[in-house]
Amino acid sequence: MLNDKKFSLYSLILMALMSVMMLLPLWNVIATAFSTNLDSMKPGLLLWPETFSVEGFEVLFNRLEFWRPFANTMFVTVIGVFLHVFLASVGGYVMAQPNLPGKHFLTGIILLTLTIPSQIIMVPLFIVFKDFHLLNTLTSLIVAELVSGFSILLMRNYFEQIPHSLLEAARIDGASNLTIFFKVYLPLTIPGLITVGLFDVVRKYNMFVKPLIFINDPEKITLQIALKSIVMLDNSTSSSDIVTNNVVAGAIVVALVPLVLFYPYIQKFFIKGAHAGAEKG
Amino acid sequence: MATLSLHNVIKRFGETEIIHGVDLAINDGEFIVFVGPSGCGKSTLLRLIAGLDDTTEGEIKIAGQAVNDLAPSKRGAAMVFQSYALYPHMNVYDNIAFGLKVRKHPKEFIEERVNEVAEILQLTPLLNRKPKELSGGQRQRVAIGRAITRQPEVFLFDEPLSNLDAELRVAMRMEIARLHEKMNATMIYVTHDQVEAMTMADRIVVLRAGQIEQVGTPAELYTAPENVFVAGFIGSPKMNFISVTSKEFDGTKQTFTLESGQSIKLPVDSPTDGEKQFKLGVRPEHLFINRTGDLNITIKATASEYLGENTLVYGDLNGQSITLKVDGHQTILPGQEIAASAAVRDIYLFDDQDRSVLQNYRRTLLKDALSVKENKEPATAA
Amino acid sequence: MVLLPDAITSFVSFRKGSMDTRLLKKYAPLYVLITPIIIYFCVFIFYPLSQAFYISIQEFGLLGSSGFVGLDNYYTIFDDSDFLQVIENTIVLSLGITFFGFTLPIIPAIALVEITQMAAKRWFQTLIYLPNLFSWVIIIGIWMTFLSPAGSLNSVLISLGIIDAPILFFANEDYARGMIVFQTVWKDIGYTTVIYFSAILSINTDLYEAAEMDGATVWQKIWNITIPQLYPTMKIVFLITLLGSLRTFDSAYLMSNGLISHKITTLALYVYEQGILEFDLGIANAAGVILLIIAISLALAVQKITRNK
Ligand SMILES: Nc1ncnc2c1ncn2[C@@H]1O[C@H](COP(=O)(O)OP(=O)(O)OP(=O)(O)O)[C@@H](O)[C@H]1O
Ligand SMILES: [Mg+2]
Repeated sequence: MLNDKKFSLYSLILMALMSVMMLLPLWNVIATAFSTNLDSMKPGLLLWPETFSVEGFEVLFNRLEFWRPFANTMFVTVIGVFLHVFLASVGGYVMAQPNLPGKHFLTGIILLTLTIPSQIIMVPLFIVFKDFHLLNTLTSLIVAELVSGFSILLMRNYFEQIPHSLLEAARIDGASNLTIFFKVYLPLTIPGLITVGLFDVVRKYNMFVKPLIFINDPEKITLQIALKSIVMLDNSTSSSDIVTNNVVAGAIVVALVPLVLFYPYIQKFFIKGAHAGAEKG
Repeated sequence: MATLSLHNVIKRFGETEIIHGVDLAINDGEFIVFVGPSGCGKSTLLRLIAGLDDTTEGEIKIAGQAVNDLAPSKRGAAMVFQSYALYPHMNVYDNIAFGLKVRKHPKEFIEERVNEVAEILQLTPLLNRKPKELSGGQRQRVAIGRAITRQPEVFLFDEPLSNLDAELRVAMRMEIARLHEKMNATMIYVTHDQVEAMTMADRIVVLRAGQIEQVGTPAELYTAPENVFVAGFIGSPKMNFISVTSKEFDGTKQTFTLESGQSIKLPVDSPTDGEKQFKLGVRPEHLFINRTGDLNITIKATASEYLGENTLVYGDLNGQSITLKVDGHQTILPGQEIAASAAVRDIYLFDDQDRSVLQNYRRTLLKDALSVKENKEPATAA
Repeated sequence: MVLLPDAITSFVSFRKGSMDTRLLKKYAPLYVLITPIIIYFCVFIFYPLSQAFYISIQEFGLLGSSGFVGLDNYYTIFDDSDFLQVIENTIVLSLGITFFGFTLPIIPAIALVEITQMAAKRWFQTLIYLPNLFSWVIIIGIWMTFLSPAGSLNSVLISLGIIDAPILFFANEDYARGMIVFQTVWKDIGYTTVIYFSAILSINTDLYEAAEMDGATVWQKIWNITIPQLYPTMKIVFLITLLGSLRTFDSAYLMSNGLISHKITTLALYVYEQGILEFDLGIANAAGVILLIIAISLALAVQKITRNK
């Protein structure tokens, strides 16, 4: 836009430097993860493993049973995201109905849920979960983020883009609300469902405070909590002597793998979401 | 096939009343066209009939049964939308079949119906395509096909052809007319296009600002408009209106003077005492140049448009714009003075206050002719 | 929180609308669909919220409430110098995160727009956006590895002779807050850059061409066109960043250790420590309510100020 060759070059250099800044520590972690136990503890710039090794990963999976929290997180994420997307689209469908009496009231409720920072209700929420006997269950993590006002509003925006006349045509064709929802609305908002789903995958995968509060049972801890124990060398990990730097780095790398696999899609849809966010305000 | 009637139908959106008490009776199998300026409530009225919006007051009956509280799908009406409203993710077959599928008809029945409809509308080769792979005209046919499959009692069309180019529009117009004949269904058709209205309608309903101005056959509306609005709305180019003032009444005819000083004597049913304002109406095609007639005016040309078969001449008469439609090619320069005239039988007299028609001389003359005949007949017989 | 004023408007306009029983009947299936969701919100958000208020004015022991104590819990925490420190931490961190978080990304956003090589442009976007997806555990894990005493950065600095002894980035109270701000900005910069980037792309190019005709330099164009055109977006980003920063929890929780936690314990973390670890529910909820009040008043104040502009 500025149309200046020199400035364009500076921009390129600046962004290259910035990318290094984003990448360098990450690269360092990957290099550490594939080093031997000993190499990983040595001081020095580590950008390539001196000897390529998977010792760290062996410790991680064989001795620390890192697969278990991984499986727990997968369980919560898969089931949780499925339910979340379903409920968000049901809510979004209702909220997208023109002329729905009481729509303002419902919108008010949903906006209010977005207004309340979760930390404020953390303690009473803990008590609610206790009363429902949900503490120490993976179900608690699914229930905790079963649906969100944010996702409902996002789905509503997608549904609202469907021309109104389509809804009317379906009504005249004799379709019921459920038929319209499943046969007309959902097939037309697949990008929306994917976006909401991906947002929720990331949210569920990274969920931290809730498992921290709700789950004590070592059998049921999730990936982020297990990762925390390893990274922070928690005293609770009795085997802290075996947790060398390459194990820590290995755990981080393992935790990154699913995100990186999803990243191309996430980027495609999130960046669109960010653009929309900028416009919506 | 069904009759349809509206009784004092009122529609309000919130506080604003959009439809102000419409009464209308539509016969079985009739082709009715709603016309009127943009925003007058044509679509709204159609949507009330379809059940897409709820009527605020009044009653709508289809086949004698009140349908106010019935869901759109239960009214036996099908609608073709201006935007087509095809389901983008379904192919043509599924679009047409959707209404039957949700009604849980057996598969073979659906297949038979869809194929039959596709045959009628020449859609058979396109059944597997998605709407976005179709041309505008093809989409329009799918939209119509979707409406036909269910064999509704009443068809509702909301400006179905307005997205098509002129040629396709003519073709589709014929197709719809043919369909009407074949299915013999009651159809209500909303349009902006006069030609569509005049050519397709059994009867035209002229709406303005949420009210019916006049209902009649195309010929009735053209020859016997009931007020200035209908007179101006039907016919293209628009009817010319000329302000006149009433003068003396000589026992049979009243003299009216134009602002330019010319005057004309016209028979009136009820003479006016003193000077009052009236409007004369005369259609562009009924004004002739270089000829003297009952009404003679001289206008100053402002522009002309040569249309091939004829030429439209725009001019000015004491600040009122006048349009003439003259045969063939006429070279007319701006500023040129043109004498034009019209015969009494082509003149309408309107009340300047309530804008209703006072004298329709074509009618008057016709009636006179008939009454003369009537008077004569017994004489011959005797 | 951004949305509170909108929520209020919604309720107000709802009361103005009238209910029609015929419509209610027609829309019944839709209400049936939305009801479970509303119940969910009531049980898991609104009920706990009301409890937070309720408990904050109760004396609360392990066995439940033992009576109404009015504002005693509030007096207690305001008398506690630790709590005042917590407030200070929250404010300082919040200001730091907000300031850098909303200004810095403008630079890469402008740079990104100017880059003409499409492939490079896409790669840069991809790279800077990546950390936004990482959990705080991963972020801190990555930087702890990179910045550890024997880690890459310290080793390089020592071998270059810039420092003698390794810098204890995670165990020095002077660095603690800076580290949180830095890592938060590092995490979020990609996201905010993308927002600014798309806002810049939607600026009418005629403006730049007109400035070009007037002989404006690159910097003049940035200063007189890009930045002013970005104001509306900046307002939104500012608000989102500010309100997000007030909730700082994960980073502070994960970085806390005996040496530095007094510098970085935020209100949100304090609520957790008092409520979940100490089970001092009255105090925890009083702190929570204070956080809510701060957040809402800030949101309203900022909206008022920026709307008047
Ligand atoms: N849902 C609505 N809420 C409020 N007002 C409406 C609504 N729908 C239509 N109107 C108003 O009702 C009037 C009639 O609208 P309608 O769509 O029936 O006009 P129309 O005759 O079909 O016009 P057009 O020829 O432009 O399609 C307009 O003034 C319009 O603004
Ligand atoms: Mg219309």
